[in-house]
Amino acid sequence: MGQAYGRIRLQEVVRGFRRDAAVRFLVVGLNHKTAPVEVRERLSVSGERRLEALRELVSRPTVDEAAVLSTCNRTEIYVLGPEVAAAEHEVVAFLQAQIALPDCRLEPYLYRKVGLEAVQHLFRVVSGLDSMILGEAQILGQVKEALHAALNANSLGVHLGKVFRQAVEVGKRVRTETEIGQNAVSVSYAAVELARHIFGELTGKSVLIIGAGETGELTARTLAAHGATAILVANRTYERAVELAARFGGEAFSFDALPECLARTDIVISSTGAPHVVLDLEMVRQVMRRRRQRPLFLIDIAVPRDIDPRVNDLDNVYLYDIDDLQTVVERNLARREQEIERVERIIAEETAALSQWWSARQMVPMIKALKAYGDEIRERELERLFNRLPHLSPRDREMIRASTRAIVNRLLHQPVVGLKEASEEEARGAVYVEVLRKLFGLKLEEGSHHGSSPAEGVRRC
Amino acid sequence: MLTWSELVYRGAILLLGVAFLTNFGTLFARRSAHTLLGTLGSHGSWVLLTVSLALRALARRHFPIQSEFEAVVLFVWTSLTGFVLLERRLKWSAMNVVFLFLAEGALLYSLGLPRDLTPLLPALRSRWLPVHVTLNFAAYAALTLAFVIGLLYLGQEWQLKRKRYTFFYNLLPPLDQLERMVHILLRWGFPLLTLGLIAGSLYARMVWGFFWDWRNPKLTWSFVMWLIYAGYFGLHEFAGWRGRRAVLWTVVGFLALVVNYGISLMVKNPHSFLQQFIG
Repeated sequence: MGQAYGRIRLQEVVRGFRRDAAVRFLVVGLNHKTAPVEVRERLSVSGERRLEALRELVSRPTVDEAAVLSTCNRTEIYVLGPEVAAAEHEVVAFLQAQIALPDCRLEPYLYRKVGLEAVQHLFRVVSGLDSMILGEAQILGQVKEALHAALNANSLGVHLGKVFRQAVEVGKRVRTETEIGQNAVSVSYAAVELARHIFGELTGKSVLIIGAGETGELTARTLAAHGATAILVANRTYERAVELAARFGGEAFSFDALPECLARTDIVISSTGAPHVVLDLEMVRQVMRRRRQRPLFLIDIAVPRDIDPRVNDLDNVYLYDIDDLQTVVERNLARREQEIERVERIIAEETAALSQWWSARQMVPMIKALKAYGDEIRERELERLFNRLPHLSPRDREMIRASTRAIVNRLLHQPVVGLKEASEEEARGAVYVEVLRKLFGLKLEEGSHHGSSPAEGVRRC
Repeated sequence: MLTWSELVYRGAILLLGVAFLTNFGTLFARRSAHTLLGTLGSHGSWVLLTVSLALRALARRHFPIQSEFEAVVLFVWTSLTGFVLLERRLKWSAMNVVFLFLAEGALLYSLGLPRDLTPLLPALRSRWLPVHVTLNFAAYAALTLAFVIGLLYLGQEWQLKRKRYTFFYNLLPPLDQLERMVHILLRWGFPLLTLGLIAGSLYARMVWGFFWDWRNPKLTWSFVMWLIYAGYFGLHEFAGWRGRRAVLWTVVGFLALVVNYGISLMVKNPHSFLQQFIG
């Protein structure tokens, strides 16, 4: 009977301890997997709107700390409140109000995660595991933005600040320690990667665009972003070429000038709608002679193809059609998928580290209470002593003060060390807290759990 | 009994092995790591090999090029000198692995060769010998490194043309840099080879009384080898040979160099290490 009672008590204690540490942390959100774009675009919260949202959220008594992550694929609100159910209710209501459509029920699109699961979720998001394109790098910048916005809005406290800062570190770590962000997974990046394998750095290389296709344009822009300088544009109609060249700040040519253009460039992107071949074998062969055999990288993203496939058999000519590029992309995606396991391992490690930090922090109010308890007794007893012995000189008093301080500190030293050690294990930590609370008759102040002013909290973490 | 020279020589083999294994290991590392251990291995091996050759030269009181053993060690030493100069600048782990594999292979081969200090042949007692040998071996070093980098070029070119990507695809440097490096090394190697042949011919005039002997297969083949490398520059300048063809040509040149070494082993003349030269 007594034993059963004891076990129930213990479970309650453990639960209470966890509630304090992790369970008050919560994320509510939606992403490209759970919600259609019509819903996502209405909930996109960025810039000034995000600051307002953050200030509004933390002004509610149910929310202590808040951060908002908003990208084109997701909107997620991370909060910490005294009661998780109330906080969740608050956030859902807030999101529902944002959508401003009375007949649109948001509920089915939302997911929510609590405590360490929410932490793990954020770490997965920042690693790009939750992204549309696996391992993409933009999300790391977006998480940083969310952190800075929350700092600006003064909506971060110790806990959420720590979580987001650590998330940024996780994002960096997985990208340096694994290949989750390595190897191009889009056609335009695959082209850049191949060009680098041929030319090394692209600085000073020139690009020729033949025809006006969207992918062609994107590829040229990506090449330019990686150092390619001169851009030439050739089109069947010269007017269209001029128009396109103006957008790139490049030179315009008509098709008659193709051999001259080819002689001058290193990388060619062809995407015309022509039903026949635009660059034939003979033209390229002659151009190569004029180029003195400098390598030529040809990218043919048109269907039907613009460039005679036999061109690839010429020395120093590297021809890639859209299928070749797709193959590269698929191969690279497969390689990223192989990295997921390693990323998950890092995330598990970091989540455990954060959990430990949380538990350790949980001890702070306990340790403070213990020390305050000791000081209080000491002060009271000293006062009584000095009242009874008024003849003591100031020097004697000082010595007695120092001596009693030492006694109290020595007495409490071992319990404090024990608490810090116990904090590494959640269950043990909880028992220690409870035991000390009982034995010393301590009361933890409400205020030391949460509700410390956000600005102060930020400084401390 | 291990002499000091032998001990140092074996230490060099060990360190080069360490360098090879370390560089081989970095191929599988996630980041392109340039480990301290790899650099220490190759540099340390170079120092020990230098000491070993110096001790041998002291024992002989002459340039150590009397036996096949000395020729192999001298060849590895000159190549390693060139490699150490390139290694840190280029940071091409694939090149390190291929070169260190070949160099360690040559050293392990030399382990099985007789190492006794045979008495110096009269024809080798000349001030011209070190000049001729140094120039030629420096040329061989440059040509060997050009060959190693040429192999990398051919491998990468094959992958980019056939669109078949192997494990090495991301480990190999860009084609452009590989080709340029091959060319630079040939621009060093070829003039050195030319000067080496001239020095050898002057040397022959001193000891034998004639500049050249076309009946001597070693000399004839050396000339063929020279022609092949000369051909590279001709084709490069006048026929516009670039890329795969030009690099393949240098591989042919290196094969001629290997054949040249084989001839040294077989024929009966002062370049031979198997038979004693008489008279």
